[in-house]
Amino acid sequence: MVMRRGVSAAIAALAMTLSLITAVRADAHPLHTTLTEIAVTPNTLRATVRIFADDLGHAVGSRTNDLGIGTYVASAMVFLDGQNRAIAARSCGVKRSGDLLWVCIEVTDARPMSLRNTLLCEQFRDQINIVQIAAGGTKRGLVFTRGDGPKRLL
Amino acid sequence: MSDFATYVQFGFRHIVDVEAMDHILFLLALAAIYRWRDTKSALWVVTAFTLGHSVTLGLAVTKLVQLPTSLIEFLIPLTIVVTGLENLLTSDEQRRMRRVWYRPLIAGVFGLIHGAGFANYLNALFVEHVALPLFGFNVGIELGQVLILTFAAALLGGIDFMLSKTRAWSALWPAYRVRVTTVSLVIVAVASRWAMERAPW
Repeated sequence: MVMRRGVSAAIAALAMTLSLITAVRADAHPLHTTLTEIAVTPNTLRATVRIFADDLGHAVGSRTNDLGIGTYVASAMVFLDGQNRAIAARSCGVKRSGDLLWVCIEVTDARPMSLRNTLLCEQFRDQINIVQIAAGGTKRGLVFTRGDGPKRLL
Repeated sequence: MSDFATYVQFGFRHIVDVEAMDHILFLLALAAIYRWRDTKSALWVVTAFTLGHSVTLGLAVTKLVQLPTSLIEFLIPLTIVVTGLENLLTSDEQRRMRRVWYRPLIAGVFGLIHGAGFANYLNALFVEHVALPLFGFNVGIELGQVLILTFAAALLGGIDFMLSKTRAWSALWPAYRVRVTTVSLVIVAVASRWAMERAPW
């Protein structure tokens, strides 16, 4: 009886080891992260998103021109008004610097109250999007991960 | 939330995630030989790992040291394999005979390698103001490590408890040694596969 229990435990340990070896991913541990700086002035809100080019490649596929990138970023970073209605944002340029892309989007003539940031969350389960907001001399930060809803901007 | 708190949360969330399995597995490899009564020794080892990992992160992010990512990604699983093998091949008696700083030294040196794993990403992202993000990220990583080690201690304690109820082991081996061997074998097997898949050649 004792012997049988020992053999069962050994088989269970072996099975666990084999399943771990095959299941646990061998990928390295990259930082799936974007950093967005938002500057709020009385008439304009301008967001500059820093995003790794190879990460973005997963999301935009072959649409790697400025228009494709701007469209993707504006669709994943949505500014909302006080009634939770989306406010249209427009692209204000894309700059490439090494592995990083700097994507600018802006909102004019509207006052966004909150932000939903799902950048690359559909691609990476561990995506973390950091947002830093500067408005009227004050600064604050937000962190978005997969499944997060809108968060208040100010 | 302040900028600093944002970066602390960034580091914490990054490490307390199943995707951070290489880091978690290394912590488990370090913790695998300790029992509740060894808490002080375990804390020294983890502190040494933290110091090593902070030193390289600081050096690499401030561009004083530049290390190729592919090499670092290969070395990280190797540090896990070596730690697991040390668990398996060194007896308690041998550990007692060695100097007290021997295991913290290993953890510190391996921490140097793990810190470099994050550095290239942080360097690229926080181009112009890296000090505050780096410090906040590191604080978040350390808080995450404390949480992971708490879970590891509970897991290892649970394994010890179950083994102590099984007479089959006690006749051959003490339950503690069975735990160290089983956990370390699993760790060595998983990390060896990672090392082979990440080999730069």
